[in-house]
Amino acid sequence: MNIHLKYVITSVALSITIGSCSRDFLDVKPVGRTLEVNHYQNQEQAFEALVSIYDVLQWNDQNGYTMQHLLMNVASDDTYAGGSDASDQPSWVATNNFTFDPNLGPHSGFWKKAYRGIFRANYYIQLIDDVPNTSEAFKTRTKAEAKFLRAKFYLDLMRFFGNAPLITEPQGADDYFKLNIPGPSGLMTQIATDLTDAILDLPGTVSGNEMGRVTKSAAQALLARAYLFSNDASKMADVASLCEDVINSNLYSLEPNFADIFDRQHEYGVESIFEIAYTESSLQGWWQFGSGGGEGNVGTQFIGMRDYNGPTYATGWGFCPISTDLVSAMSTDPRFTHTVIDAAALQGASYTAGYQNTGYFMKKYAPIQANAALDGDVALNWGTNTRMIRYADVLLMAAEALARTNSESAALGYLNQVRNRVGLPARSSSGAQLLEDIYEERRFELALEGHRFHDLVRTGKAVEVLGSEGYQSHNQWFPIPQNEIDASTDASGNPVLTQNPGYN
Amino acid sequence: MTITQTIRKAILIAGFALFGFAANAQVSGTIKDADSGEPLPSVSVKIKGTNQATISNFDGFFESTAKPNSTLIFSSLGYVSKEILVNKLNEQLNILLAEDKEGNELEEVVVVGFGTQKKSNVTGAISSVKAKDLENMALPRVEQALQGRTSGVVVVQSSGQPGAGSVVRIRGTSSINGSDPLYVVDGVVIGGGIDFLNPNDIASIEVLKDAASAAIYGSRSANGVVIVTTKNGSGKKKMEVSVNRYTGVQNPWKKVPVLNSSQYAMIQNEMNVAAGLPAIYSNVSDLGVGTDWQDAVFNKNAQINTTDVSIAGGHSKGSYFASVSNFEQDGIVAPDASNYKRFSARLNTVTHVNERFTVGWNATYTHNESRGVSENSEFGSPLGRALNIDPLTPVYETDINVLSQAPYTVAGELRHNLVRGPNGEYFAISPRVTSEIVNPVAGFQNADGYGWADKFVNSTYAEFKITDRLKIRSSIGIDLAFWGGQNFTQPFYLNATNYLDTNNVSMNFNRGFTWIWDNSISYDWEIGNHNFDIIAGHSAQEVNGRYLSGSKMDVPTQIADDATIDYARNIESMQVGGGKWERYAIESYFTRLNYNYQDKYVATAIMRADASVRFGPNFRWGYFPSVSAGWNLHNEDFWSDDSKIQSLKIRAGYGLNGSDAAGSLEYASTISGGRAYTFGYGERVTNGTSPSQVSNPDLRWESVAQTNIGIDATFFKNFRATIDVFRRQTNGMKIRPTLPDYIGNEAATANVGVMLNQGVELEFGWAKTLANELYLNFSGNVSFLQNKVVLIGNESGFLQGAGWGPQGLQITRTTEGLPIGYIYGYQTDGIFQNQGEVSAYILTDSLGVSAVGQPDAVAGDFKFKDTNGDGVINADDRTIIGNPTPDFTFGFTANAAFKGWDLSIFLQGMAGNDIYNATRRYDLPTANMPASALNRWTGEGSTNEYPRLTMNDVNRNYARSSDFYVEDGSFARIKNFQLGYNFKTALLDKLGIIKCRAYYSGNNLYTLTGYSGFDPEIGSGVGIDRGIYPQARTHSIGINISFK
Repeated sequence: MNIHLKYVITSVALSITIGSCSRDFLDVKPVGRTLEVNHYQNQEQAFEALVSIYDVLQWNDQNGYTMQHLLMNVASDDTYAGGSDASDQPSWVATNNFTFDPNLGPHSGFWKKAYRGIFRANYYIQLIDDVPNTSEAFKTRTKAEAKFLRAKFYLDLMRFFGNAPLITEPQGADDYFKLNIPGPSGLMTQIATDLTDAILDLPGTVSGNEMGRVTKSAAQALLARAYLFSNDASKMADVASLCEDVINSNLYSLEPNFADIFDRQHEYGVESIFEIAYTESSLQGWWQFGSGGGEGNVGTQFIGMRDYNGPTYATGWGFCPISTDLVSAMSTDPRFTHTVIDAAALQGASYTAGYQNTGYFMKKYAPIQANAALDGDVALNWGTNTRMIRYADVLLMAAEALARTNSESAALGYLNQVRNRVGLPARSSSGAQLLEDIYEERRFELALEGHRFHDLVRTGKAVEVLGSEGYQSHNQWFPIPQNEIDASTDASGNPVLTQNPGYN
Repeated sequence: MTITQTIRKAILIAGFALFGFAANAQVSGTIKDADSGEPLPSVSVKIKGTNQATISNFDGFFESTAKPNSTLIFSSLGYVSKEILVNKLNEQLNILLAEDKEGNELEEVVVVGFGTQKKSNVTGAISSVKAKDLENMALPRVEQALQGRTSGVVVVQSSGQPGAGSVVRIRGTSSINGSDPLYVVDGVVIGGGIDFLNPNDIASIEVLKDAASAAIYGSRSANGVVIVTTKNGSGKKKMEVSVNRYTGVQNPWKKVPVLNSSQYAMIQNEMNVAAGLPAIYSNVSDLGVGTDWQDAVFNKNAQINTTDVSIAGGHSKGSYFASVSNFEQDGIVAPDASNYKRFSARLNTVTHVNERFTVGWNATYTHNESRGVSENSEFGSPLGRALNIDPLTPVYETDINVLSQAPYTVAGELRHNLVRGPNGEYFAISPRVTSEIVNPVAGFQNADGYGWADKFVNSTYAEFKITDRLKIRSSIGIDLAFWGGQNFTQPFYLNATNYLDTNNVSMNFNRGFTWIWDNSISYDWEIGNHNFDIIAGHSAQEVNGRYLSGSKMDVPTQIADDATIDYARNIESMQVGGGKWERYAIESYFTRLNYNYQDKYVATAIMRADASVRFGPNFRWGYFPSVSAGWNLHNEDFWSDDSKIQSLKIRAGYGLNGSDAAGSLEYASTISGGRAYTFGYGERVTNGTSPSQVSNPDLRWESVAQTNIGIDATFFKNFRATIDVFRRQTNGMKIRPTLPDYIGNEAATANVGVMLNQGVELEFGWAKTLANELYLNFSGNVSFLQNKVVLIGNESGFLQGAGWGPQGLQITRTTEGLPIGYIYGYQTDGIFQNQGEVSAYILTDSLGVSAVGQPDAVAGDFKFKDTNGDGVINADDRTIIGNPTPDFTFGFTANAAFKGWDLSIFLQGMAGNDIYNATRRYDLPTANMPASALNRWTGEGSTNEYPRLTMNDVNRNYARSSDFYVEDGSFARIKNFQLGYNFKTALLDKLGIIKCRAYYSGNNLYTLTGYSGFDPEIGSGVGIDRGIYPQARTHSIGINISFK
């Protein structure tokens, strides 16, 4: 029966696999990624975690298009929403005429972006002390950077929502619905704590390849801005002293030529204190939209003229047409032609009028044909940095704080530096008129940079100025996003977040 | 005795004894076909009440050890079984088996996974579809073989697009994490669906519906198991060649009425005036009908063609089956942009090397190619666009004055990327409707892309009988698949937001490879009348894959076939991506014990243990037991033979199934890259990383516990019925809690959810051959199902479902205590007929404070219900406004045959399901509307259903998800009607042609539904119609020829 045996052996040999799968048969090895528990073992990896916080700064794509400074222009009396038609970007239209509600508007994107950034900062601050093979100097500096970034996100939340939860550590499951909602003043306390810490540990300057990282002056200026916009009159001395620290550092000065401030080649120029960095080289594509991936700035695409055909600019989507109000207020200002494009005055160029077209477009950040990305989708890959804090702003903040603390001559000095740069005559006003002059200077100097709306709110002028566009006093804040209230329901079935007043 | 003699003898021996080859044959004989008189090989000859069985040899000869006064059962697929009492020793029997036209299903053999069982001994809930049920059908896809034919199995075409898959649900949706069944083809667990199969290759499809039977597939059986067995030539003696061919034309069966030009202009004027704006159109009545965009988008008389040739036969050492088939289908939408082709070839063989050793393989290769257009999307599917674009815009713009202006020109020149028709004419651009709603015909002109797949599936096995009772079997299955796509997009300008200046080409390649190695040992024995058989085995499977993709811009050609990445010129635009999958592996042990007492009492117990890489380290192994039992009352002595009930079986079972549907490393927090930022003057993009989620080492399989009780009966000779009642509860359903955004990170998935499906299934049939050669057969099934999500396990108690539109309007939700994915929104309570009704709509909150409920509303606006009674109308009032899960589904088949004629009607449908009609872009106020908009509110008393139309919809009548958009999706459809004729002439006989049938077949001939959209059969998108691709109405003619 030896043939018989052959089949037996063949079959049995095939069958003997029971227990023969080796132990690592069931091990799964990550491909192209690492497990969190195995990561962050050295300074280089820790730096990646720091970069991920910076990354959030440049997101413009959370739950729709959420370019912060552009939407703040739309909310102000300086620009309209624009676009192709009334239905192009409903959340922008709603921002323009204050018809946003808990479900509609850009705020769910603002909210999500800020908390993504805060989580990454919280994670970093908790992580960094225990990362091996990392120098103390690195730890100190980068922790300060994380605190700066966290403060920036809380400042956004303070101004947009007021009643946002304060979270300073990564949350475990037990803590998801135990919220501390300290109100705007409580957020301000955290912002001040973080920035005060950061100021101590941040470098005075960075250079070369580090351009774009946080400096001491950036933290001082941001804290000054936070105090100013927290609208706490008792903090004006702090604002003044923080601004004067920046001024007296002698690290910054006004660009001699106003037109250069927003020039692509003058990024990180003498006037620049902090910029949000973009590049045209990241090949961002539409498939990434919404993910926070990609390093381009779609904001520049937004404000270009629709179907522009001519020598200078690139075609855009026609958002943020300049209001006739700003045009008439500013048209004689020497900065006007560097701030606003008068389409009618363009030689040898044409464009298509879009929704709410006024014939005037944003020149600051405008898409310049020569700067268009060579690769990837042009619309998503503009490299124009957002000038988040510049020296002129610091001078004007200093002027305002000094004026409000009765140091009027010092205030006039700073105000007139700004005016002098563009050849405007010096002011010599005092009292309430001086403040009015400073506010007007802010409007024109910082026009279209996203400050105007909150300036109106904090100075109590919003109802007067924006009332005709639909603004009511409760619009000082956005509503808390409805999805967020829904998702914050705790075990007892009650949402732990409450809607801001006026939105129920 | 020489070895050869032993082998020879063994082939002839019937009736095995333990370890015995010796002849103790008592009875022998020959089995023949009653009609043709040809010997029948492979007929099972079993001694009643025992496990002892043998099969007839190639010459139809058998020998059995049956003793006098025992009964022999002769059975073979497709023949009526016969029971013969053995009278005396050494009796010579001549058995004639008659072809089974009515189908005695009790004698059918059912594939149960790692083995087969006689239907009458099955204790679980298993539905079966056999080749004979399908052989006359013109089926494009295998899943359609199950549609409407078995209870408890809902098959819905996901769309009418050629090559589109079907959604298959066995006993409802068991999990939010996917409820696709496990497909096992000839023993190989197949990933990526079964559309590679040629429907004509199918011998049988079994659906393991209950836990008791599915437990043999352990951690992957939670959604039921579909076992597909392909044909082999067994049972045939000579080579038989079959040729099947059909050709048909497909057409849309319905157009959705929309506003024509003058109606559109009138409504637009009205909307503007209502918002305090001037009317736009002054010449409303002159505008006429305008463009019928649906006509422009539909493809009339789209072709469908199949040719299939197969060869099957048996020989003294085994059998073979070989086939090739070619299937081509054009779509009824978007000519040339939507079609599908499939070529497949198969070779199955079985070789009995000797009486103990059998080897075989089933091998198939399939190539398919599909072109598709976007479907069921509010963002630019051809049909979605056709419903929304205004009728004033022509398909082509021929007016020179218009063409010489924007948007056709830029800076006085015609745009280079305007889309042009076949004769060079320019497609019109709507100046009224914007965003994604571009000219629907132009929209599918400039993309030339297709997907393709090559798949090779092979199962090789060897089986050895160590003794007559002890068998070992080893099989290796391989599934090697290559797939990818190619796209060439020409420059286009469709409107201001949809354009492309430079052409681009992209390609991607994927390779997936699966091996599965099963080894098992089986043994049977008896103790008196107690019969046992047991199988135990081990299985291991591994899946690996890799992929590569790239794209580049600026190809110097306009011909898609010439467009390759290498040919493209813009080096800087080149993008490349690629990688490999994280490997999947699973290792399993399984065993099944069957018990049978004189065919009266039958019982089965199964245990399977699985270890999967998808489970967290704390729960690597999962265990899946089941037990079931059945009682064949008709085999009891007390059962009288002249009973009106011929057979009656009661069965019950309980078991646990699992689902390991989880992503690779889903339990772990990994470090995600792509969080880059740009630093420095030189703009260095610097990589950043952060944790992907919180980790959960306790992650494990979802477990489904299912109880099933069933009855099978045949009565009054011609009737049969099966009733099953089941309750299946999914425990540990994996849910990623909807964490609030303020947490800032993704939550880990966790086994926290519970879902419950309960139902009743009924299958019934009647078959009879009347004296005058008229054969009639009716069968049908009805399944009632109730789905409820018991526990979600996150704090909010609900999960967000589907969103709609650019603003992500929430329209479905899953909440504890309600059915999965129910439709979510406001309830309306009629329309305010006048301002007085608005003022009278006073709501009172819990503190007793009253206020006008909708202060912004005016006459003609919806009155929304304050469902939570809190005194205000707000987002908290959104509630369940529809359920996409049907209350019951049904299928009904009628067959008749008379002389050479055959006729069949197949009807299928569902009832009680709701559809959210999301086809109109309400956010684009200038988009066209369904014709029902003519019934809008125009003044007091005009309507209480359709609110006023205005550009300034402050009450958000249309911008809220509400019951206004919800429609009853019930339908009944004549899925197939077929009339055929079998030619039987002396000439054909002479040519060796044993079958020559010509037929007409019609699909989707009639649909009874109240649904207003294109088609109520919506598979994907859980009851949301965003402009689906409807099923075609098909008329085809075909021919089936078989010859020897």
